[in-house]
This record gives sequence, structure tokens and C-alpha cells, in this order.
Amino acid sequence: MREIKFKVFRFDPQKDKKPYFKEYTIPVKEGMTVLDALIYIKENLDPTLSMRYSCRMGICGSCGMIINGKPELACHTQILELKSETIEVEPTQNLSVIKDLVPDLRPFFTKHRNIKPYIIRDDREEMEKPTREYKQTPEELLEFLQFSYCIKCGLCISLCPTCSAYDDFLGPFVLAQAYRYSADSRDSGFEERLKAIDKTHSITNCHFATGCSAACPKGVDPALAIQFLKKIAVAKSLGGFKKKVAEIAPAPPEKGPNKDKYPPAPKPTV
Amino acid sequence: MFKNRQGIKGWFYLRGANFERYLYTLHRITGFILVLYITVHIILMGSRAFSETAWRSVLSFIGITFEDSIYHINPVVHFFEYLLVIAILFHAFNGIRLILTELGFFIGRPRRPEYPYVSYSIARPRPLMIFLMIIMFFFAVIGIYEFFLIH
Repeated sequence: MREIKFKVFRFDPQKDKKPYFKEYTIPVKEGMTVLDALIYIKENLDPTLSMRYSCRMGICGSCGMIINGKPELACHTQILELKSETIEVEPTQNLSVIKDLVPDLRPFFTKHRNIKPYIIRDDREEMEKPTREYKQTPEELLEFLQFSYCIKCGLCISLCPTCSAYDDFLGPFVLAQAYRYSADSRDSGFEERLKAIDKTHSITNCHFATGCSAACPKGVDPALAIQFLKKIAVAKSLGGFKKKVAEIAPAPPEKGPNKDKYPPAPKPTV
Repeated sequence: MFKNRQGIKGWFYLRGANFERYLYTLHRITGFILVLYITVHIILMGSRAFSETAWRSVLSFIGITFEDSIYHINPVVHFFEYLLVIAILFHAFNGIRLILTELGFFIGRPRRPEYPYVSYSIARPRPLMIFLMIIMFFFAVIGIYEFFLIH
């Protein structure tokens, strides 16, 4: 059992004018994550400490914070692997702090909602009451699958220099999601989405610093998505953007020996 | 709520940053240097339009004297001129890398992320970056020869 010093960012908007760092020394054993340490502090040393967490297994994206200067998920960071006697924990940068380690992600969630992060199609009736599934090949799936693993933890924002300078920049994960849906072979709403993207501080304000991709804990690579988004936006403005939108899978045959082998269409989930 | 945004300072926040992030910061700095240089350069060179005396005084202001029909340049100014060439070279070659990668060239295709995650938008354009930096270095060496050994 080793004792490790934690320097934790503290800020209570009702009491403090400025944030400060508070030190806690806690016993650490093998397998303990930074989130475990923060929970230990809250349960045993200082119940006023606030942080956001939920799944504790790197899925929900709630516990993104800056650990020893690097943006990481607290639940995914082993204390002993940091090989440091003092661990500094701060909230995600370039976002307002609600309290202690809780950043305010609402502005980015609003931006995310504005870029229409869902499949948009011309056949709205088929979307509302689907008769069959849409056709999609594994190659078409790979075009966007990587970007669909985004957990919206906001860590990409903290290393993005454009996010730090401009308030209205959409941000890496939002633009990556705009590409994720635009690259989906079932979607035909790129033009609609482009209206939300095409603003003063938009894709052209991403200067490929790649901080977002280096920070991403899920291998989503937002910088890659943003460059592809630029590519299709340029192609669109030059009139070279053509997309074959996926069709509905054909209905099973009504006659013939194989007619019973086709499963019925799945029931609508929404 | 405490506003945790760094503003313009964020361009220079490099704690835990990857190599391309350093290039970004250098690109910004050299960009500002170039804008500043071109503005001052146009203003100073514009003095030719007024008179020969104005032009001579501008030349002496930037450390150039005209004696025995030869121009003599202050060595400190000469060294800073060389640094300017380095800034131009860096900005130009890094700019080529950015134009190519931002239009989707040399960054590969999306793939299924497998643990441990590798960021391909960083890893794929690395050979291009190294290639362009070697060319930049080559021109910088030629610059040393041109600036300090011939003249």
C-alpha cells in the first residue's frame, strides 16, 4: 500500500471567487483508478468534493478530466501506471466549471443537436413506418463506424486550440458526428447539415492541430472525420459531391422454394 | 460558473501535446511574423517612391549602409534575415502538409478502432511531414551557405 498525494482542483461558485488546488493523501493499491481515488476522497476525507461519473468502465464518458496535464477518463487511468508521487486532477479545459471537477458540456450538446445527429432521408414515410431494412455493405459501414464510437466525453475539446480561442466553434466531436451521419450510406441530409456547419467559425477553422485525436480515449479520431468533412464540403461547393443513397432491401419472394427462409422485417424500435 | 477557457493562450498550451500540436503553434507564430514582416516591408520599401534621401534613411534605419558602391549590412540584421527565411520555409512546407491533409490526402481511410487505439490522422501523414521537413532542412542549409558563406 503506497501513499500518493492528490492535488485536486476545487471551485465552489457559492463560496469561492477563484479556483484553487486542495491536497489529499490517500492509500493506493494496485488496480486503483483515479476515479476510485476521487471516490475515496469523497467518502472518507472531504464529502464536499464534486465530480461526475456513472459507468466506471469507460463507456459513459462522464469522468473525463485532466490528469497530470493529459486529458483522460478518470475511470480508465490506473494510478500506479502514472508513475508519479503527486497527481494533479483538473476539470476538462475550454469548458465552464459548474463545481470542482464538473464541467458544463451543455453548449456542446446544443451544438451537437444543431448539426442533426441522426439519419435524414427523403422518404420520411418509410422512416416513420419502415417496411424493410436499408441495404448497407460492410465497406459502407466502415466509412463511419469508427466515428460512431464517440462517447461525447468532451476530452477532445480540452486540447483543441480553436475551441480555446473561439466560443462559437462547433468543436471536434460535434464536427466528427456531422461527418459520421453524412458519410452514412443511408443518409441524404448532408445539405441540411451543412447549413448548421457552414458558419463563421466552422470546419475551415480547424487547422489540423490533431490535439483532439491525441486526446480521444476511444480511438474515434475526430481530426480524421473533420478533414473528410472538409473534403466533401469542398467537393460539394465545386459540384463534385455525389452520393448513392442506400435503398430499401428487397421484399422476400412470395413464390419459390426459398420463400419461407426469409425472416420477417424487424419491428420498429422507435 | 468559472470560465475555464484559455482564449488565445490555448494556442500555446502544449502540456501533454503531441508533435503536430507543436507544429500548429509554430505555424501560428511564423504566420504572425510573416504578416508583420510583409506589412513593415511594404511600408519601408514604399519610401522609394518619395525621394532618394528617404530611401537612404530607411536603409540606414534597417542597418544597411552604402559605401564605395557596395551595400554593407549589419551582421545582427543579417542573422535576423536568415531567421526570417527559416520562418518562411517552415510556414511554406508545413502549409503544404496542411493543405494536402486538410483536403483528405495522405490521412488514410477510417477503420475499426482496436485497442490499443492508434490515431491514424496523426500516424498516417507522419512520413509526408518528415519528407517535407527534410526538404525544409535542405533549403535551410543552402540558406546558411547563401547568407553567411558567400556574402
